[in-house]
Amino acid sequence: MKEVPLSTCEKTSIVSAIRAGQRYDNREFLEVRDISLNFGKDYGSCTVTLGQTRVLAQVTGEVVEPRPSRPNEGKISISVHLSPMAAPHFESGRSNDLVDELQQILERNIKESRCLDLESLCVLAEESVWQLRVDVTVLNHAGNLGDACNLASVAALRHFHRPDVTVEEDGRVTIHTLEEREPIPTFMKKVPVCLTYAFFVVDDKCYMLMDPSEKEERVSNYFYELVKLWIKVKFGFMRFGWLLRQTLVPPTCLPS
Amino acid sequence: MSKHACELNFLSRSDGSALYSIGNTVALASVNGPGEVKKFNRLYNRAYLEVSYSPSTGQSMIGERALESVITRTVEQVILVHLHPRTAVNVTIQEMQSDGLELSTSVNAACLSLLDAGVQMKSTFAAVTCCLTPSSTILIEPTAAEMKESVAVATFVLDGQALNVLSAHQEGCLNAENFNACLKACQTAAKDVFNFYRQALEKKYHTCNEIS
Repeated sequence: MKEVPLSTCEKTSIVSAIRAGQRYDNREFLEVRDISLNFGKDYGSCTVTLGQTRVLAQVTGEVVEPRPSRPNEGKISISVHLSPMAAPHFESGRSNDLVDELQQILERNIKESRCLDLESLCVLAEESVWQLRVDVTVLNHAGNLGDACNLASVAALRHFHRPDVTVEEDGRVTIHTLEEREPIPTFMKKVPVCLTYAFFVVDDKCYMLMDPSEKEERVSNYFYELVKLWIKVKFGFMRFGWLLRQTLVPPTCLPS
Repeated sequence: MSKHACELNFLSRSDGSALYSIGNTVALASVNGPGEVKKFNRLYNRAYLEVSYSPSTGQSMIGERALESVITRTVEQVILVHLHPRTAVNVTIQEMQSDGLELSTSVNAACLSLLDAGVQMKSTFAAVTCCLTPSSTILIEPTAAEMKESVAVATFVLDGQALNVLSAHQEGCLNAENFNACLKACQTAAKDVFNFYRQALEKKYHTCNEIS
């Protein structure tokens, strides 16, 4: 089904509300919607609700051969799925700009940040390692998918426990069931947190909104881009990646 | 019989949605339509029905396609497709947690989400799964462990008015006598499922009335 276009009066009313210092759902400019996490019966399953946005992440693991270039490290693969459930205009199976963008965000936040200790996933060097597979499914798209997907995958990874493994002397690997031996939790050195802001430039003034809802996202794209901010909690430094052309009001809301 | 639970209108972007669980198996169904359809799929006299089932991990493979075909066959018989020509009705089902009863949970979730969306149907429908143990006992809505030990597993989708069979799916060997016994057991259990649907919808409309 085609995407319902945003009408001109909706766009102008959202922008004029922002100029008057208000948001449509009565939040403050720097207020995030309510977040709730629900974990499933199986280890590694987490559903995140960020306002009305809902994302499901499921982590599974299997023992495979390691990459020849990195024989001591486990592997992680992340995949994002978008179906007509998330919004009627999506088509499952068709590659989509949004899917690519979300995949890029998650790979940068989880794989490139090296937040998960991949060496701890090694079973027998050069022969068997754990491969963790994270499947992120967007259930409902009500804005700010980047944050929700990140939250869901991080929570699912931290919830995931891998089965205990014994390596025999002759090199055979036995994977124990969850009943035989206690499963081992995954260790995350750092926790990637993703915060999304939308910028609106109205009358030469720049307004920054945190956690944009779906309509706010669509209007702000019309004007300009989103900033994605990524904080490494333990190390206390922040990394900005932005594409804004005008001078920016220094963000005062960032946690120290 | 395992515990049934459901939450309606779970997703804000879908016309209708239902999060349904039977025991430890949970499925989320979302319905969009009747709405715009691609030229390729447009039918001059009826709505185009598309059902898709996604597992919680991994790619959709042949097992998921088999489930989709059972659900499509059921839903086709029930939705009044001829009232909506040149439109599409999209049913998407996501497996959230699985403990063996994927088919019946998905079918029931699909029915409730169609009711939530207000798509016109001839009757409601409900799926009941039962298995035949080696000692010839029939267990309704078994767990995955019980299904592993059983001789045959049968799922019947029954309609809400006369409890006729809309579709059936069976794994294992059942002779005619056992098949009929399973069918009878499922038909009795289905009455409880339909009562549960009624309660779920009463709750939904009761809340709506309270707000207004």
